Amino acid sequence: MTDSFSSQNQEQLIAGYVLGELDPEETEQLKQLIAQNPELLKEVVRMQEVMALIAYELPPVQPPTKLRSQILAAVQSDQQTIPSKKRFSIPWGKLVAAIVILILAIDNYRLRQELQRTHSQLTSQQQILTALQQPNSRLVTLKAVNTSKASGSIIFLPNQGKLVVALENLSRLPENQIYRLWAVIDGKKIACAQFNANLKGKVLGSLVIPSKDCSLQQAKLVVTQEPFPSPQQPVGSPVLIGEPNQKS
Amino acid sequence: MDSDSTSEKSNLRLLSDTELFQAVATKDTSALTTLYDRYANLVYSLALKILKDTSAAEDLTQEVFLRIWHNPNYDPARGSFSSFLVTLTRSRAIDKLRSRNANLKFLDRWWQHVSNQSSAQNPFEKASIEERSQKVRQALAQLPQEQRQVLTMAYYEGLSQTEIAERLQTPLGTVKTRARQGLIKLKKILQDWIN
Repeated sequence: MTDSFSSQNQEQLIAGYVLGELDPEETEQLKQLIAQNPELLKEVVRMQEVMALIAYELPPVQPPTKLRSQILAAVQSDQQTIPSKKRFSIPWGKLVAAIVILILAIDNYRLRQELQRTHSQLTSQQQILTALQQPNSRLVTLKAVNTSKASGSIIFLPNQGKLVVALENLSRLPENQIYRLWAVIDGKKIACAQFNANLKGKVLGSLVIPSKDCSLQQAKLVVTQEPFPSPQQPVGSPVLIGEPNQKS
Repeated sequence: MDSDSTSEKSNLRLLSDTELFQAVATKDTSALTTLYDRYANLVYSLALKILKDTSAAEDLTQEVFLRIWHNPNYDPARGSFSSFLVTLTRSRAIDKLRSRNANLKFLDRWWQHVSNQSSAQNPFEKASIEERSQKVRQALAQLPQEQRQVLTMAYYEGLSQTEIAERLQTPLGTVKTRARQGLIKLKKILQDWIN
């Protein structure tokens, strides 16, 4: 059936998909084509890039200058959830808990509003406990491989599809390098995240878990320093390592 | 203000979109403002073109940048950051315009096949915004008028192809072909710019 599909037909389907107007039959055809050849997704990416480029034809209009300060004020008020001066002098466990509050709060707008309205520590603590008590959630402490002082934690919250990275004392890497987080299972390395440290040597944020393997309890975690753009498998040296959780 | 803030800002300006985004994911506010300075005009212009209302365009611009901050889920394997930003802006604007919520994401589960690969920087990301605009305008000018018309109506007005067909009093099949051919032709013209 699909063997008869010429590359022209494929291109038509991909264009239709990107334009958002495939009919159900065409949708099914495209699904099958991609199931047979996932490489076609690269063509979808290219077509989406072209679609997005169209916006560049517009004569640029500058938004009012107040908008920039409004956005900055909004994000800075979020950051104050964790007092920045004290952030790294408190024990990691408390820091991690604070981050989980932050992540849960910012990931869920309604919850955030509720938290702001009631200032209920109880609610947030229950949220943390709930998150960490979920059977799949996992907290891994990372230790420096060499003599560096880098350290930190990774928390996996598979039910939210998120992982939280909290690291400190890492050097900020130049443009052509990046830190990558790998899950190592039976010698197989699965890429789980990539990030750079900020100018103060810290990494703090939540990222999408790209693969279920990343959060497996038996996975060893390794942070390596890689060239950017990065090859699919690590070529750089390990910076931090987190051992698999003990089986209970 | 920190004493190093000036040099910090000029350093940030040298970073690629993806690097800035990664810094935003680690809650670096300077990285967010650098991305804002780079793309606010593009986002706002697109929002204004679609929504035709300055106040709504401001709200949407704020929403887009705050969303990047709160929910930094851009994946470089899925394309360039600016494409992500434009797609997000356009789809949110059209949703607002049409109160629609089309299910256009059925391919999502397949992305795991391409995830974990960092896509290389697209050539156009090395060009300035002005150079990108110039190149895209030249490319669009090469499309036949009827293809460009249909693409523009779909792009900025969020019209379905049935609605476009009615408005132009043209058969639906013709509208569909024009839109697809137009996009495919644009891709051919711009292919050196897309990885």
